[in-house]
Amino acid sequence: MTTSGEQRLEEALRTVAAEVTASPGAYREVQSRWRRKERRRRLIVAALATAVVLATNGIALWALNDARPDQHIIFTDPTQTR
Amino acid sequence: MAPVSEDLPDTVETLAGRDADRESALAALFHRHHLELVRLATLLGAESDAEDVVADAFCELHRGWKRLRSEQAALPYLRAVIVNRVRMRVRHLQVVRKHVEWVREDVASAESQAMVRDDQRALVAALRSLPERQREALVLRYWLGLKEVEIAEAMGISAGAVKAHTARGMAKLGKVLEGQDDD
Repeated sequence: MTTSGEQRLEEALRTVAAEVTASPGAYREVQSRWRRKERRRRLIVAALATAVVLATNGIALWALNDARPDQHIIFTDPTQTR
Repeated sequence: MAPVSEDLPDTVETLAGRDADRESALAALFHRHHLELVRLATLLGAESDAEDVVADAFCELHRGWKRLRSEQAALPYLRAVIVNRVRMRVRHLQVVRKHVEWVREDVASAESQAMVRDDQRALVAALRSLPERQREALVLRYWLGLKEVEIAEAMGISAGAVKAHTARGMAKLGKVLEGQDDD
């Protein structure tokens, strides 16, 4: 395609693009959308962190509850292994 | 106010400061480029979803702001997201239109189309009938005036492939233009 063809394409694209307008409240809408998504993301992270802490505590309590009083399940006594 | 450095430790104040910096940078970017990006999405084939596609791109940028190399990388990132999202949308519509009866939606309303000459409308229609990669390359090249490297970044392909897509697309459009010259 010749340079004039390229110019015609540029002109056609410019003309069609010039007809496109954006809604006046676009910024507020987009801003509230990204804030909402951010809040949701933080909420999910907080919920996951809470779930992990609760699960870890639950497992630890279960392990401690099942152990015999004379048995150390967290720290092993080095003198016992000798 | 000076931007909060990324090197500072995470405290309530520094995190709030970084959030405020990100918001103001995004606001500036939005006011400078929003309309241009909506037009880009429209020309690529987003039709009435153009604003929605651009809004999603800004949300994605907001989420990935920390991962940007620099603030200058924000605009190319937005372009790449828009190109990708419009491509997904067009593919989705192609599938939908196979199954349901579809009434063609033009680039703009009938009233605004009156401003576009017949030959220009035919050229844009021919552009829209091109394969998606060729259409993307031509819009990014001849409307945004991007360099091959920038187009390659936006489309996620090599500069050589951009050259090939542009040449093939222009060759096909050349036939449409020749037809117009004959009339």
